[in-house]
Amino acid sequence: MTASQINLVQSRGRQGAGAWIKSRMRNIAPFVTLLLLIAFFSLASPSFTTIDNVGNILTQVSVTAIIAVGLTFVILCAEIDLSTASIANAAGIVVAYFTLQESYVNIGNVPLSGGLAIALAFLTCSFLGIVNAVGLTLIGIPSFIMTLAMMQIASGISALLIRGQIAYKVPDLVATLGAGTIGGIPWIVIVAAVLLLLGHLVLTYTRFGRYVYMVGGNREAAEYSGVNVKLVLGAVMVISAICSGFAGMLGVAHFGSAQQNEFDSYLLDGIAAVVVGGTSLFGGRGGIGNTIIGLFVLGVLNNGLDHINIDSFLKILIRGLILLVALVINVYAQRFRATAVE
Amino acid sequence: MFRNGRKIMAGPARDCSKAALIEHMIGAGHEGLEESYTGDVRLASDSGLRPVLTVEGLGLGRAYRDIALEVRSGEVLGIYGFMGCGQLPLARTLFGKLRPERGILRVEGKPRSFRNTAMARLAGVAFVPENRRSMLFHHEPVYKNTSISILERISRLWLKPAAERGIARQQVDQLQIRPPRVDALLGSLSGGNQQKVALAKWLTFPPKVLILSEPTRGMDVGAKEDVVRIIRRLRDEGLAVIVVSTEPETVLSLSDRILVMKKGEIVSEFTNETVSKDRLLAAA
Repeated sequence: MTASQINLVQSRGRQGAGAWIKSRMRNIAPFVTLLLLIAFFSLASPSFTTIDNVGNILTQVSVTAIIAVGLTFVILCAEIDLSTASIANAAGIVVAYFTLQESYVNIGNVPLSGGLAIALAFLTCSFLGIVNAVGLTLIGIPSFIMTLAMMQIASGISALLIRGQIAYKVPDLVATLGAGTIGGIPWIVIVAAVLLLLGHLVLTYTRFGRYVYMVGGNREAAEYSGVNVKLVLGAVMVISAICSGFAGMLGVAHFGSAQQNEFDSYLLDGIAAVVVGGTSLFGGRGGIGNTIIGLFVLGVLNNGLDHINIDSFLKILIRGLILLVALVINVYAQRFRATAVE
Repeated sequence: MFRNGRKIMAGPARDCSKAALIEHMIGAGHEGLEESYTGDVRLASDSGLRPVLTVEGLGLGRAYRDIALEVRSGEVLGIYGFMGCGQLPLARTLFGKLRPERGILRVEGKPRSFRNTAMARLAGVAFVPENRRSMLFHHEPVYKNTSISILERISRLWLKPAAERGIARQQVDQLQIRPPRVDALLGSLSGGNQQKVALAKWLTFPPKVLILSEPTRGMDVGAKEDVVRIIRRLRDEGLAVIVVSTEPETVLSLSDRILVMKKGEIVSEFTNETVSKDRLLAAA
């Protein structure tokens, strides 16, 4: 070893464990949070740590998980999508609209084949995603405002189609994937797991995934490197809309009905899962792995609060506080990283 | 005084001459370096070379107007002007970052209209902006920085990190980037080495035209000389190079031919003659 190498090793040792933890806070903090929550609820409630309840948690987070896959792409690019829940709702209602309902449900009653209804629902959410993409990239509306408008537009489409009623019938395939089980495992859990895996593979091992991280990490640099930044941003908006639409269809089957404002709570849940998991709000850091941890943190929290004796109105406040803490950690993790590299 | 992350000298400031500082910074043998930038420079450009990028009547608002220029294969064209004289927006236009309002741009005779930087890159135009921050990914390793511009040549769909590292290693060796690790985070490199990485991005599959904005600004003397050497080598290999700068020394140390811009227009051209910093300043 030369003198300089020894110097280097020593200086690394001096920075030591503190620096290591700081630079990886984004991954460590959510994981520790999850372990603490599990430990707490296991002690507080004997019914929490049962196989059945683990299955419950998995099923409960599945719809959020499908939305969160697309949202992870968007947030990695340092954009935001506020229209996920509304697009989910619209896609769910479209698929019901084109399915023959009971006689007392007076909507479309367009008896299309199941495949065609599903295709139309996918077409609807893709189209809404493309409108988001065009607004963001070609016109230059900030994604926050663009998707806020889209949230209203998608709700409007839902309202016009469903007209305040409740539809129960969906195509068989959607019903199976949303509410059916195979060998005791709900299909919707399998679908969510497959989509999370797919999202992870795309983000980690494909050229498009690399572009997503690079555009999120330094958009200007990506542009000066000759990356088609607008194409990448447009693509993530469409991916998010398609994931939301898919979640909406399965969600309708999962809940057993399609109606207005059915998915409202999923707007916050989706964003919270991604951010609580540690994906950076400033883009370029994080991934599906973080999102999975975030999903479990939310899932365990929501489920655990049902198992302990607590004012049900307090639960809403607790969720808000957890999200706030996650945001604080998210911002600090970014700052620590910045100081670690400079 | 620090070099490569180590203290190499300490002493009272009044005992230090400029030459001694330079010697400590880059080692002995570079004392003549400053001279070559401030003395007379003999320009030599062969007009028989093949034009690669041609521009006619290019104009953009108040930034620049009526720009006509061509850069040939195997020459370095310097564009000099004071800050705000239009040479920086012009360079961005050639790379598709800005869109011109008027005029024609041709690459190897083919008229091109770049809607974005990706189109310019695919047409063979490369650009290194004056601000390293705006073209490098500080939180990513060196190899991801060098591969980003050529990713589709390495892989269609699935990434090939081993190939990316191999290409980066080759560039790190060739350009003597320190530290010589392709997995080092870019933010941990010195400014000069970062600038070399910025150049390395474009070198594996060389473009047809390389546009450099302020290629040596803010660099230590040794790294400056390295960059000059790299650019000369690229020119000798047949690349067309455009160097844009607000510092006369930068243009003089690199160019075979010099255009001077003033208030958005090209006001004079120096070819096959002897120029000095004073003549450039007088023209601007």
